[in-house]
Amino acid sequence: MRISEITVDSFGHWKDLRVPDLSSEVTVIHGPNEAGKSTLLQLLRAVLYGFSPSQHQRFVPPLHEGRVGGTIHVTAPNGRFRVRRWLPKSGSLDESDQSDLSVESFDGALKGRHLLNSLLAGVDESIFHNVFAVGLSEMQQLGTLSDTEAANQLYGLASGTDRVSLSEVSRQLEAGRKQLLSSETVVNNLEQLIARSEELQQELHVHSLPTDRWFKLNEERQRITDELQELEGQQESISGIHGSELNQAIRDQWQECVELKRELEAVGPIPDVPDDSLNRLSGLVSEINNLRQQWEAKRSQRKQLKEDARELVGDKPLLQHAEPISGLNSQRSQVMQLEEEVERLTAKAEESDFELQAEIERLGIKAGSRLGAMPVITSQMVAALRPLARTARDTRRHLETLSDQNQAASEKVNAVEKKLANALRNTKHETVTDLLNGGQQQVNDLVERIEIDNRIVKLRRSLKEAREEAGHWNQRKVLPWRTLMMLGATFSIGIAVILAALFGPVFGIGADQRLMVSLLGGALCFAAAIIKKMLAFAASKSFDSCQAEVQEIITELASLQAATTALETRLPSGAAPLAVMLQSKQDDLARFQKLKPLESQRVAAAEEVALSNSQIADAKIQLKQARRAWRERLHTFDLPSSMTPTQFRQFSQAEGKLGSLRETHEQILQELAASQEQLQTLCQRVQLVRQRVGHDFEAQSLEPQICELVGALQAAQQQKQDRDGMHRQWRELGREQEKIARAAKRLQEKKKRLIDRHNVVDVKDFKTLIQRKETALKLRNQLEKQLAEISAQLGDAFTKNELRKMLSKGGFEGKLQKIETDHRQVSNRVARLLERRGELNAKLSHLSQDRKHSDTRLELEIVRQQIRDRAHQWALFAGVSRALDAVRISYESERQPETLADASSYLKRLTGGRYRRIWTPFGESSLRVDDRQDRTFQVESLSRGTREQVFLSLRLALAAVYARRGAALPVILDDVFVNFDAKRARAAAEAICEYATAGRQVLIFTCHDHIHDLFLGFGVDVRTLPTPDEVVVHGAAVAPTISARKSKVAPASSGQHQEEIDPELEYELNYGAPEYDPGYEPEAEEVEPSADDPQWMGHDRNLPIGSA
Amino acid sequence: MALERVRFLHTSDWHLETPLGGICDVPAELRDDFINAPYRSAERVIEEAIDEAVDFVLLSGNLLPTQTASPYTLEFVLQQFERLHEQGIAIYWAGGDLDDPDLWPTQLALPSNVHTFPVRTVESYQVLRDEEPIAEILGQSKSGRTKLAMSTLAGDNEQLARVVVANGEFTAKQLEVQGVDYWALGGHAEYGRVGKRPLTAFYAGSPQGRTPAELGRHTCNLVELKFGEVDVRRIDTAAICWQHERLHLSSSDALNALETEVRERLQRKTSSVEAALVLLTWEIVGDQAGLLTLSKAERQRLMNSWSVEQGEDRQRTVDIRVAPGQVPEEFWEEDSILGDFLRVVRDLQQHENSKEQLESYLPKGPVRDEILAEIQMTDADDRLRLWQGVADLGVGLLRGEASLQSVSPVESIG
Repeated sequence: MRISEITVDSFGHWKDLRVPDLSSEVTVIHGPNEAGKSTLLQLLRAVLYGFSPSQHQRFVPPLHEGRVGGTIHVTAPNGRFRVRRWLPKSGSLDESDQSDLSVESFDGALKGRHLLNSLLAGVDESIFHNVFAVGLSEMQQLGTLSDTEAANQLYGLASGTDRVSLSEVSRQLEAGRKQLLSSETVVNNLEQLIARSEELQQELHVHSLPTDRWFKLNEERQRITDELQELEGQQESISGIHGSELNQAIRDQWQECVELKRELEAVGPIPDVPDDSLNRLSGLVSEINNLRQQWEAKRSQRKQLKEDARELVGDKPLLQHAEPISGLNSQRSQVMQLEEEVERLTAKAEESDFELQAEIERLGIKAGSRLGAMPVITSQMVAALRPLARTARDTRRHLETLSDQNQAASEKVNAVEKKLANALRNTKHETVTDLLNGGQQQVNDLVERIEIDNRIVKLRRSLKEAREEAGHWNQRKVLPWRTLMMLGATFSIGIAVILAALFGPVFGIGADQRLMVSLLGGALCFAAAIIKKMLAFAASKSFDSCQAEVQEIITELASLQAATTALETRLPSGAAPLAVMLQSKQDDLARFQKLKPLESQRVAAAEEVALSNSQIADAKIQLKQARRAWRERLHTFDLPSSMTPTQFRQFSQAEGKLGSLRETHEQILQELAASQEQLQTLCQRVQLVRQRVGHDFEAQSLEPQICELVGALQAAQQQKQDRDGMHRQWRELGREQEKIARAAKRLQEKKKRLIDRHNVVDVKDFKTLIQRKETALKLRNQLEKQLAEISAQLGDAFTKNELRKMLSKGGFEGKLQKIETDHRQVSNRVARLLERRGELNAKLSHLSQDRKHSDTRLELEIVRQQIRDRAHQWALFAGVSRALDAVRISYESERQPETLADASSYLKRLTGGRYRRIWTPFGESSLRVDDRQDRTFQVESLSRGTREQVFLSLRLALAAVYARRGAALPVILDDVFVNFDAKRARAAAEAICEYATAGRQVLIFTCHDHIHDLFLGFGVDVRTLPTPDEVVVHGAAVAPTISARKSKVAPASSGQHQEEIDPELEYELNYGAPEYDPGYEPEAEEVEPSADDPQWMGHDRNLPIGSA
Repeated sequence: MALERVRFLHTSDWHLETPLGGICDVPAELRDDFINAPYRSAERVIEEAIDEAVDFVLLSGNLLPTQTASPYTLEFVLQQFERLHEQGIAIYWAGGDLDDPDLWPTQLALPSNVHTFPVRTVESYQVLRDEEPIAEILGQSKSGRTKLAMSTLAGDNEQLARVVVANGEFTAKQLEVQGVDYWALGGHAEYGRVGKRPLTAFYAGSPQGRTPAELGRHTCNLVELKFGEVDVRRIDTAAICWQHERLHLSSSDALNALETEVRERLQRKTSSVEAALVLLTWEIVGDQAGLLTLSKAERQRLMNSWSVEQGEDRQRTVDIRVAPGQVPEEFWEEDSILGDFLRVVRDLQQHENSKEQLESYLPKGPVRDEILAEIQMTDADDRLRLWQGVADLGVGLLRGEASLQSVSPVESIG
């Protein structure tokens, strides 16, 4: 939405004011103080949002008559409209202003209120007042935003996925932690619990005091117990002394003791008879009678045994031959085995006899034939003949092998000789060696011959050269003419020089020079002569040398010719060249060389043949010897000499089986005979025994007869054993009878001694003595018992010995009375101690049953657990807070709202980069500003100018955000630059102009000429409001019009404004001194401000402004 | 190696003065049980020793605070010792940090059947049967950092059983001493064995579990030695048994189903330990568990409801906790404050010292020290649980699904 025209019908001191054709970008409306700028701003707010009570109070009734209100022409994407609002004619705010708002299009069509809402894009009045249409006072108050939706744009840093505010969660957690620690709203918070824990620990400490007391009481009880034990000991020693009644009973007992003692004395001395004497005597009598009865029984038993033994009479012959019969009995099984063996061997002998006959028939040897007469082949014979046969066989095989080798070698020699014969057939040599030697000789001769020829050719060439050189030197004996001419010229010059010296004066040579010149001439002559002589001598020497060399060559040629002649005789005749002959001979020699292996083979084969012939002869001799040994050995064994080893082997093999059969048959027959012989021997022994014992056999065979003999023997032996047993029993009974008799005798002797020892005559007398002793003992025991009872009752004070003495001597009553007194004292003490111990026991029991200690411990344990749980709970809260704080820090640094990002860029521009960032802390509805050194300041701590720049940046950013969201309302700023210095004011103007270029309309109200001029400098639409007087003069007939002028004129000089009230001073007068700007650092150009700059008038920069 | 058969009872860590705990509130009717349970379990130990007619009893320390014990405890201990004395059963007592026998009150004489071991040196006693030695008992009490003099424990007498009584922490390697048939160790609340055969070293454990964490059987050891064979039998002694049960919450509105399941379990009485009183702690787990919010009143109602009493057998619920829910995987990767929060939590979880992460939130004063002591979090599992809880709570708060009241285990805030 853009405002294109404002018309004021009547509002404040304005009447019929029209501000037409407002720029779509920046429009500056300039007017002096009280010119009505703020009134115009209020009218705009009133037309768009209605009249507020404050506006009503301030501007109603208007200075001039007319309907209160005005019209705004707006341009929106959906058309141009006129928005008109008046107060009701009554001028009262109580009535609804519904009928006083009209929205109509330029074609006169009325629109509804909703169009106005649409035009305002949902921006409510509060937002409009605080963001879009702000005056200096609104802008100064950041808090004015807090209650608006715009605050979310600034402070709504965090939100969860479900729009749960992070800051809210953090606040909850912080509150939760505080509550856990110390809040009164939490039952058992940590502070309370810890205090309670300490309290309980203190209680525990205090409760330990009863323990000390318990120990003391215990100690006391122990002492009392010890003392009681001691007293009880004393009491025990006099425990019989209890009271007068009991003591009277003791006295009665004492009297009985006296009576008993008297009776005892009447009985007299106690006989010295052992207590068991009577029993012993009775026992002896009883034992003697018992022994007598036993003796009689033994005697009758012996008699009966003797009679029974007489009836048993055994077979004496049988018993006498018991040993042979037992021997036969032991051989009974052998007899049975022998009988079976004889039967078995008989059958086996028949079987082997049949096999022997069958084998003889199989070999074809009939009884009585030559074979049957031949000796049996034994292993010795085989052992003796086997080596001979093996030797003969080996020798024969060796001979055969040698013959084969000889044959092969002979064939090989023949084959090689045949090859050699073919090779030597065309030569005059008989052997290969001769052939090779002859060939080699010819090759050597030919080589020598060729070398001699070459040597002769070289010598002849040398001879020719030597002769030519000799001729050359011979010619050089005469000097060549050129040399001779040169030497002659030199000689002549020398002569001439000499002559010139001689005739020096003629040629102008001084006397002093004539000698020198003559010497020079002489030297030249001498040199020429010497040189000629030397050259002639050298030629002569060379000639002689060449002649000698020629002679040597000729001599050597002659010797070579002689050698050639000698060789010619050995070389084959022929016209072929020597080289060709040499090549031919070398080829022949190479061919002959190939015959050398053949020759070697022939020689080796011949040697082999000779060797094998020798070995064959030896082998034949050995074979003959072996055969002779074989025949001799056969003869030794009575075998035919013509029998071959093969024949012998076959015969021995057959003879082995036959012999085995024959041997088996013989063995069986022998075994049969041996068995039958043993059987016969046994039969004879049985018959012999039968005759001796006179027994007749019922059985016929041998084994049953032996059984009969054994049965008879056993019957006889049984009878004999029975009789022997009876005899032994009879003798045993006799010995026992004797023992019984001896025992009875000993007992009779003991009985007699016992009676004699106590001077009694018989057993009756002895019994009387015993009765007297028993009476005395009884009295004494009664007395002792009484004394013991008295002693037991009276304790250690009255031992039995003492009582006995008192019984004889008296004094019992006196001592008893004394001890009775002591006992009463101890009893009293014991009673007191027991009473005290009872009290202690009760106290100790009370203390030990006191479980308060345990209760406290349990309570402490519960509290400790609650502390642990609370601490864990706190840790959970703190952990979440810790993580959220990390997120918060991340968001504060990296995810500030876009509004603040925009605002930061505006602020940076407005402050020339001094402040670079506006940001809001997480979870707080406040702002912070960072300077270029990253120092952070609260907005409230900034200087007023800077703070207003911050606020302006925020408004511009908020308006931009709303514009991006579709609420592109014009921004109206009412004198917001008053506290900006010139530089920042210029920066602000630039920023606003740039801001407006993005299609956002800005209306600036100002009373300051420098602002007016500043914007003029930027080519902005600047309008000056008329004075109220001007409006009044013009009246309603012609609405005063502010002429739009676009001026490039420079801002008016400062001198023109010096008389005006300084705006900053005015601000200070109105709002107080500006605050100290902690982030402020004067820039170089600001330190020395222009003298013309109205911002610095009356303002000392070196003084602190206000307090921080 | 014992030629004679030797039977003895090994027990330790009675902690008589320490009542049961580990829960934030103890119902009034259970307070006496909580206080008396250590005494009742100790009585059971003594009764077992008498019933089994053991040759002697070994006490491996931490029975009672000898210096600060109440009269009741002192008298109780003396009574138990006297009971054994009457049966002719000797006692060999090696103290731990809690109960140096040398500090036993001098005003109270120990019965003559009680033999104690000093702190500094190893003491040796011979156990006689028919005036013939059958075993040699060696031991040393522990106090602070005193160490058991291992070098003096070795022996080569194969005729006698050789038993060592000690308290403290030992490794199997330390206990590789020649000739010792049985190590009677104390200082652990739980029963345990050190090393493997042939080493026979056992912690008897406390006869009574004291906190919900000390679950399962609590016993004393009945040991029988003969010919080098060691037979150790555990005898239950706990008067009160702790039992932890897990309930799986399948959906947020399945609390009724949970109650049904709880009743069934209570009827079945799933505890394997024989004890008249079973204290139950329930943990509700499952993906939907994080959504379950139990108010204090509701929690109390459930605790009352989830308890049964049949004759002398009682099952009481003393705690119900809701386990942190599993944060969905996609949340961790979300490009939002929630995702940032979870990623920060994951980073914080990597730090070993959770205390340092949190102490900046604590004010100065005594509360600070107390809380710092409680949130040491030296154990990795504790740290993991803390940060899982933080993640779960943070997600709930950021998504508006949870409130701070929901994480209070017993009492609500405000």
